[in-house]
Amino acid sequence: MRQDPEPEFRKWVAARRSHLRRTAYLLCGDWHLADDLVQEALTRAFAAWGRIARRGQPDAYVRKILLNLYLDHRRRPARREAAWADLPDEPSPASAADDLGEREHLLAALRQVAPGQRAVLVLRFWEDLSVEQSAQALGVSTGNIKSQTSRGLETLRGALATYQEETP
Amino acid sequence: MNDVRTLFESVLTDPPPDPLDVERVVARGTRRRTVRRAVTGAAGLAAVLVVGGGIALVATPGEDRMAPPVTDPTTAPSSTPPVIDLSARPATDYTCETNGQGLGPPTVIAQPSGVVLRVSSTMPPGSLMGYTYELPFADTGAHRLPARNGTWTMPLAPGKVTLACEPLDGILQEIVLTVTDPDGHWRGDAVEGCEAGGVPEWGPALTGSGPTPEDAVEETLNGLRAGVDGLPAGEADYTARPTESGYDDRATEPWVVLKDGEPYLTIAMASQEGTRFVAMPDRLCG
Repeated sequence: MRQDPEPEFRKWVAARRSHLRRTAYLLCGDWHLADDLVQEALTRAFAAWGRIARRGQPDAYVRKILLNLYLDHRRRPARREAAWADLPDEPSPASAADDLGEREHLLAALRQVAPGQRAVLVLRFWEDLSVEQSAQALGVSTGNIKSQTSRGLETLRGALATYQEETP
Repeated sequence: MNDVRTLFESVLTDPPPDPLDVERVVARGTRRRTVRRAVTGAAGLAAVLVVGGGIALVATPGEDRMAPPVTDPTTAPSSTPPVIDLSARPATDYTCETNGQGLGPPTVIAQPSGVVLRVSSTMPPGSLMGYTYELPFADTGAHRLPARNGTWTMPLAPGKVTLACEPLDGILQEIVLTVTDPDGHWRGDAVEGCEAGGVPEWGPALTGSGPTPEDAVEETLNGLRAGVDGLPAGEADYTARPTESGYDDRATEPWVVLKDGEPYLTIAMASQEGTRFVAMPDRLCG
């Protein structure tokens, strides 16, 4: 007799939703889009939860779905430019203090990294995945991950350096 | 580079409240699971609809994107009974409207040149008709064509494929089509020298079109030569050739792009009315 997957799924979501949401935000840079991506990823995951649970790697599986959704979203020509354009132009009252300006500049720097390279940086430095694990997650070669990491870091360093030069 | 981690943590401070509705996730996930089971059940039912015994070549989920078994004509019985799938047709009608979509029948028989989709669209210009196929670990393969009235011949592999009407702004609608290949037109998607890797994120920017497959591919190659894949223009030499995979027809035969003579990228080809061809970057090699 098959076990009802729902209780286990709910338990997993309760434990991982916050981290998943943050990962989505780092990928797309927009909380609204991040929440949509997470909701869709979890919907797809629940539809196949029995299989996912049997394989024993729900984190990796759901992360893979999330990455695919994000990259697929970026591939759509009509929506390609929308994701990072939703960032507020003005500081919100709740977080108008001191470091908001710096955060906006950090976001702006991150925004300059191409989507695929940003995905690699998020996997490597936020998810703490190895080169091999990142390659498996994105379905590309390890050489691809290394070059994408290098290019992404180079872009990020350049953008941050420009910001520091401009900051008095 | 620990400062990258620090940067990430800096931009994640003060997130807005989490609006995730787990009840909605469970309800929608349950519906999708039900649809998948219905599709699987329909395929199973079709498989037993065989007149006089024999084997029905009906795609099941486990056979996604695989070539059908090959029968040796010298040993096969001459009186192989015909396979009758009461629901499948040689073409299917796909309707894209802003307030809904339709597909009839939901099972289609592959033709020598691929899957024939008669599209009827009332969606605004710029809307897209997408198809997504499942890769072994998770779903990643996706292509998009204009959602316009007309008949498309598409390189959809036997198995399940998700079709989607995609308005410029609005809710994406999805529906599942089952492709069967009783006549064995599908030759598989393996391309010699190209171990399929990921789907390139810059693929849509390189979609080419033209009055012949060669013209469509050439447009894609020109995009590569211009450095659309992120490499400096003029760094590599790009050529392409048709492959002996996919469907056995020139109209939708896949191509492989060679970069400095080495397999680099596969291209899926679709045809509208046989007079317009669209080359879509599919998968990176290795």
